Amino acid sequence: MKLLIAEDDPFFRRILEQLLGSEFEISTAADGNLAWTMLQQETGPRLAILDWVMPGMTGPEICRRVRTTPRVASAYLILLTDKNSAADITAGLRAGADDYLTKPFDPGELRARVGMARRIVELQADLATQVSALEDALQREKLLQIRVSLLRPSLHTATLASPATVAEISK
Amino acid sequence: MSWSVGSSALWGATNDPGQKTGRRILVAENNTANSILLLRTLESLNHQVVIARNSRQTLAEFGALSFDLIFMDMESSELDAFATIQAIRDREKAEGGHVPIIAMTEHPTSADRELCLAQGTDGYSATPLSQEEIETFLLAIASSEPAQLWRRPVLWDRAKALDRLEGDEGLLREVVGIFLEGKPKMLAKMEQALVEKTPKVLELAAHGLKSELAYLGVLEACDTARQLEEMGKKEELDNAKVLVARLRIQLSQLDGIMRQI
Repeated sequence: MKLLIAEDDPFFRRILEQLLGSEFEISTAADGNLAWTMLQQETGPRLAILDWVMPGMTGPEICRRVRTTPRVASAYLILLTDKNSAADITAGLRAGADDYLTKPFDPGELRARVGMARRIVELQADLATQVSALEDALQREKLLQIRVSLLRPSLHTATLASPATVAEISK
Repeated sequence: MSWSVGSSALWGATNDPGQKTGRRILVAENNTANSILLLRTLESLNHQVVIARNSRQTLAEFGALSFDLIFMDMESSELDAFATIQAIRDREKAEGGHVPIIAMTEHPTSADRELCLAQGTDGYSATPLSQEEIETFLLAIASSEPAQLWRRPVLWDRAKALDRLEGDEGLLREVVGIFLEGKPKMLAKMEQALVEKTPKVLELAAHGLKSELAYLGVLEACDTARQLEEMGKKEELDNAKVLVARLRIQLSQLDGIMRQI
């Protein structure tokens, strides 16, 4: 699965890249604007860790943009911050983050949260596949109904002309 | 260059009493190569230097002149450093005053550092001292509260840092390298922010350093960076200069400790 790490500090970028590198196909961005561009790509990552303070767009700004852009609105976003006061965390979640991690983060907690994110992204993907299959089925059913309605008049004629009917009439 | 040892002769680019930055520095060290290196660096920075080769010379020079700073080699065979420091501190107790002493060792360990600080030294460094370290110590003297600046030794909880990296020694070396490489730029940015009075720049640079120091388990320096971040956020830069000097010293000590791994 693709994972975007948006972090301007090379120190934390490297740590995250190394700790999660074996589990994800990682791309990195050192500023918020580049991160937003990467998230908008057609086959771009659907899971991202966003640093709160970055040059260009901040983490919460990216969250807001993602949530108001229908094509990418379902991306799973984890804010990375050391602003661990309740008010800041609430502000981050209100901006549209799905989860948050505070620095200095424990690697176990990092893995647990990112693991949960992966399951949710996978569930969303499964759901999307099922919805699309369902839509296909509905579409086919509609087509069938149209065919049936087109066939009905000739079916009626055919019924009239059937041998059984003839026999009935001739009684 | 002609110079002799232990004769109360002062070396330095200037003896002009009006030269405010010139400090009197006693170097107690009998490794000639190290002494010359230190002498040259200090001279190039306009300071006056006396070199003492053994305990007797050191105490004689200390009694003869008033010094602003003492660099003391802890491993010299002809210089019982701990006894000499004790004698200096005893004399100060009787006569007043406190001359900061920087302990120097070739193979520094954290146990050594604790011992030196417990024995009455004010700073601790690996030899040879880099110009940055020397300037940092001198900057501390020039600031308004030198004693407080280095009273608390910087400690590194390396085990904690390693734990946070799941025991990956290679990764630890790598990120320590990134930290050490980025640190001078951050400090320069903070100092520039003070000159240019741009609190936001100070806040961001201090914020970045704070996060890295917290992750690496360097709590004293992290706390200094946190205070600087607060000052930047509140746009109150009045006391920031002393704190930046303190952070510079803490990071310089940290540099010595981290380069051993």
